[in-house]
Amino acid sequence: MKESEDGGRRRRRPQTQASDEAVGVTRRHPQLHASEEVAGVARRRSRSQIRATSEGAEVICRRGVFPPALASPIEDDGLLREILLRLPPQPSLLVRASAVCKQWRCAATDPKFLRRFRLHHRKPPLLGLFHRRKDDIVFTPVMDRPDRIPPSRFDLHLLDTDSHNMWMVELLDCRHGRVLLMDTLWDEVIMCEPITGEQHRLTVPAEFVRNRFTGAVLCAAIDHDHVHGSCHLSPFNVVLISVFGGNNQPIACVYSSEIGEWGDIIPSTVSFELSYEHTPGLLVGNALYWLLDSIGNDILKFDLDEQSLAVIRGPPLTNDFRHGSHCIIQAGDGVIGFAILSYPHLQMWQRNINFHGVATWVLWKTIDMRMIIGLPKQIQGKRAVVRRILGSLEDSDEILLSVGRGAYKVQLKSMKPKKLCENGYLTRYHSFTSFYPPGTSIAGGFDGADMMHDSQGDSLV
Amino acid sequence: MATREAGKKMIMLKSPDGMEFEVEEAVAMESQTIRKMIEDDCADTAILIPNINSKILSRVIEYCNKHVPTTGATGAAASDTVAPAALAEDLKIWDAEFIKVNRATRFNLIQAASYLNIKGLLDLTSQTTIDTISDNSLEEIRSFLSTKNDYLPEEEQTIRRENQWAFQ
Repeated sequence: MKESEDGGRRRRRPQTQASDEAVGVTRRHPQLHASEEVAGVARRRSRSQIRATSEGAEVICRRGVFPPALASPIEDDGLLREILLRLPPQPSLLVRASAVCKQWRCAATDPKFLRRFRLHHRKPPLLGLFHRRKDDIVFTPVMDRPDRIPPSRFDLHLLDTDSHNMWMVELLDCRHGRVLLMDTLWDEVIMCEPITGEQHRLTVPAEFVRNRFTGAVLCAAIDHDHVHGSCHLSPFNVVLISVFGGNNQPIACVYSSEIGEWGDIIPSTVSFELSYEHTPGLLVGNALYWLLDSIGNDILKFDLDEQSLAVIRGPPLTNDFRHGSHCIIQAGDGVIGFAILSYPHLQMWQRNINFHGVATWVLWKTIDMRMIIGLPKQIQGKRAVVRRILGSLEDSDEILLSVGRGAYKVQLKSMKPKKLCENGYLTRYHSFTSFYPPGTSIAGGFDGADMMHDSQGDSLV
Repeated sequence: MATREAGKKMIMLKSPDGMEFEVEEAVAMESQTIRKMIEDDCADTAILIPNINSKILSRVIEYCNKHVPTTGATGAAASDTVAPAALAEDLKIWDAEFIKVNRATRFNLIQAASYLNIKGLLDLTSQTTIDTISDNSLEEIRSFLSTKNDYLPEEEQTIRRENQWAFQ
């Protein structure tokens, strides 16, 4: 038996073995078991085995029947799911995988698998933006083909119902795969689930009737392993806030789908004015934040744990930033921030809270937007390029910018821009992030578009 | 056989084709299945690993040997001199080379990683398989993975129509 040193370890190679690719491994051929020592190993060895099961391997501590051979990973359901789990979260990929064969579809549509898929990826992709367009509220996709889900797939069918005057319907919020609308004609809020096409209409509490209000929808799942992004099977909460409650004091109210009714009216201890431009709220930690209006920099906070309203003073802006467009951002884990654009400078602030609970605004950074490569230049034809902050993306470090005729998302850390869509007008965008589970198409399984069978460019990516 | 070399406890792994591999216990414990055996005191110094032939088992051990966290005097010295980011990058490069194997070997490695519950190896092998097929058409995937299309034509058409944007 040849013996050699390898990295300070003794290594023995069997004479009969041509090669051994393993590093630092001693391999012995059974023919070489001559010593008592080895024979002893063989006797003891027989008591320790690993048994194959459908879930993987199981340890047994006794002499047992030799386990059956392992199935091919593609034939073995557990291993197939293990592989499919690694598909990127772009919506077309699971859909395409489900078309390979029945076994793959079975895996790709299994709720347990989809739960693992969400856990594995954690962050759902930004599928598109909901916004008002003339007299309708529409979805504009922002992903490239083949992940570009057509607007018709997420049509909220608002024009189909009750011959509404669509100007009476406002888009309030979009979160966790759901869209919240306000129907001022009927004093209702409409909670839409674009993935499944379901809608829930809720009559607002009496204190909100004939009042203007803002609101938010959020998933109410409390499972420790729940990952937001395909929450249509989970309960939801709706939060409404109006400044004209009893005695003209601001109020809030929370609807729980689990309980099936609105909670008690939550009065505010502070007075404030709230703009109803329906700027999207931002969920950071366990609180919702809204800009009080589009000019000032004060922030409305609704603490979901304490069920309380508060007004937070914004950062101390200098005169040159006082009239810029701005938004609330997530500036860290559970930390809110503030972004303000006064071209050419984009300023970002962080709101830090010390051990004593005292909050301080700290200037995080100031960016010269002219240094951001990929955004349109100063002059576009004869027109000056209009630049404006449209909002920020939840659970990310990205803001939405309107530059010229395009809407862009820009990463705050890298300042890397990506054009999302054409933006011929200034509008309020509500970002729609969601995983896309196969087999959840609406209305009988088809997306309503003309049948088109394309056997050519059908690659997974 | 409690083998100790340079103070390290060694154990023997045996493949069904009769090969034996002497490895450090820490390396073998990269497999959660083997770790459980050792921690539950079910393992002697030799463990039979059925269903994983010696060729694959040697590759699995090679992977575990590379990925086992460095501890002890020599290990600490090594990690003191190399930044964690550099080590991670080195491992990434090593993994990329390690997984340059044919389809059959990769499938065997997936089976072994699942069987022995070695998360890093399962991640690497499964992700590589997905990366390999994700650029291909459905027909190419079926052909590459020897998967039979068991849909009736009208069934497949229904699935395509369900989300036809995904096939454009």
